[in-house]
Amino acid sequence: MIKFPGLPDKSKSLLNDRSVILALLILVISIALSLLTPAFLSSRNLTFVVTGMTYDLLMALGMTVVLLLWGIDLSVGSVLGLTAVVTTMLLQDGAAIPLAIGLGLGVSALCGAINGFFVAYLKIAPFIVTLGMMSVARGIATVLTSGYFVSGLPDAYKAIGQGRLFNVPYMVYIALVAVVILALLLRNWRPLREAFYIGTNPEAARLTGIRVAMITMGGYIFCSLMAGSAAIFMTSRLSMGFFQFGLGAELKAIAAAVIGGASLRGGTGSVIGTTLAVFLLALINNGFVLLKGSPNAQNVIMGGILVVAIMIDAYRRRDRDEN
Amino acid sequence: MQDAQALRAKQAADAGLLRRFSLETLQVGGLALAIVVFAIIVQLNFPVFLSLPNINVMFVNFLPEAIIALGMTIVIITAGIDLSVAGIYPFSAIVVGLLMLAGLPIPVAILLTLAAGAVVGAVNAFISNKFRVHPFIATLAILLILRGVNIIITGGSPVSGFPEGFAIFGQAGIDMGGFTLRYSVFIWLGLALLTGYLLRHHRFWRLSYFIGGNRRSARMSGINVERYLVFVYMLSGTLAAVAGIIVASQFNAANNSYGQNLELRVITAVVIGGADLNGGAGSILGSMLGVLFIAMIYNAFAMSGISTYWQDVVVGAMLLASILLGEALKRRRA
Repeated sequence: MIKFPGLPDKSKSLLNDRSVILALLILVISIALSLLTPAFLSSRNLTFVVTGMTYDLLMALGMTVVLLLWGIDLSVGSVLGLTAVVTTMLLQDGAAIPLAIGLGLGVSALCGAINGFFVAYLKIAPFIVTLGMMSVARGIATVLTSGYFVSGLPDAYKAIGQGRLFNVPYMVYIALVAVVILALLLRNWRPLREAFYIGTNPEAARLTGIRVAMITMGGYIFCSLMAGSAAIFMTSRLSMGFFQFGLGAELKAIAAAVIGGASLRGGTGSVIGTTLAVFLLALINNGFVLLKGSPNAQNVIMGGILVVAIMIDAYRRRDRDEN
Repeated sequence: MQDAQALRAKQAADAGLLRRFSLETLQVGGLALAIVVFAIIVQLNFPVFLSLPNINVMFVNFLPEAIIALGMTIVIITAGIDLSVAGIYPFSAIVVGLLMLAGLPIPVAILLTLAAGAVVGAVNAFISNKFRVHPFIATLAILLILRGVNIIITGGSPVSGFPEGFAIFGQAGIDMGGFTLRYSVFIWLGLALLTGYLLRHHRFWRLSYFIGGNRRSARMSGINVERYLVFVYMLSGTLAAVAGIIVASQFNAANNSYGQNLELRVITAVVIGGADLNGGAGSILGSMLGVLFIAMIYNAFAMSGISTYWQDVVVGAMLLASILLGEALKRRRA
């Protein structure tokens, strides 16, 4: 480990670690909820919570990688909608299930590749590129369906989202596997290690011989693919496709990733942090539902937690001067 | 030899044309040209397009975006961004409505609402300054909070039944025979001319270009950047409140669902108008043309038999095209 002067030594003070704070918060809220309402700890409710957070989790993981690269992806919600529409329409027309899923994911990868190409090779601000893609992808999804629901999906397809193993939907296991794999890759796989470097200082990374453009493009493709996977799970679980799926999901994903430790200035972000953040938000949401509170407060809570996360960050950075 | 010389002369002439005008002039001019061409094409196919009543409809539909874009332009010039406008907009519509229903006189209700918008803007700037976080994140947090607050204070149902005098801000206007030229159009025009003039000629307002272009040297030359940003975000919040008040008057109701995705529409318009998200560039004229362009696209699609669903695709594609064009111009000049 190289020690940088001026940077706080994270290994020494546990409380400085974002994941620990989030885990503690989750513990506190879980205990409070289980004391307040017996329904919380029922396996049915817990399954409901983890199933509901799967889509958000997948998208937040993709966003974490993009934020790590000093980028941003506003198009994930629209890509989710487009993938949902394309996949379900193909199925409705009688396409084989693997083919429909493959083409659906192909469409999302293409969106990501276009984003990545504009950002990495044409050097256009990711905010604008993905803002454009957000409009275009949502627009195409709308045009394709004329605003109608796509239903009549084959049962075998619905099984992907509705099938259960030990009474827990398959998609929860798949999401967990994705978390573990991504966490390991982020720690050990060279291109993703290099992503930290790219996010911190792209120019220096380029001069060191890191293939900045290629890795950046890969990050955007990955992010879109995660949105595409969320679309597959969502459509198979709800037995339909709709062009408005994923509306506003991009801001939620960004908020979750930032609460989990990512920064808009690039170079930081953690898979575990993001996962815990999504879980925390899902728990709070669930608490509101169980306690018959206004479910509308969830946005307030999310914004509030984001502000707290910002403040903790500022506290951690207090002895470093930025800008 | 002759050819080479001619080529060089031609290149010099090309470069001269590119260099003679500032980047801003080229971008705004290009956008104006695109608007004229687009208008002519649509007009040839749909003769009502440029009729006064239809132009009036375009104005009324995009008035909130146009007013909010004034503040957003200045925010973006300072290298910032303000997502919270999409929260302030319905929030102020609701607040002004609730205050009037509570029996406050109309002017007091409006002033309090404008102040509320300014306070939200100040909070944005405070979070961004104090915790040194990108304004995107600070204003995102406030946007999420306000969206929730809007639902909570209204209980999810629309607020309506405002006093009659309130209609003057969004409904009433001068009867032009066939359509009503609403007073709200003059509110927008006045604000646009004022901010446009100040941003071009007033020393204090022009500091925003300096701060956005190079924050470090702005700070070194003694400008209190943090305090300036408080002013800029307060301005943006206040303008969003103006738009909210107008829309509440226009529909004689306030609903928490107003302004979905409005922030991104406004940013798109401002960027199409030549503002640079990295700061230091942008103009009120450009932003207003950007809003006009988007308004025209939406209007044309609504008028034509083509599915209106194409409008989002076209707006997104226009955004990318205008950026690519701007980049290409910048590179040729460099």
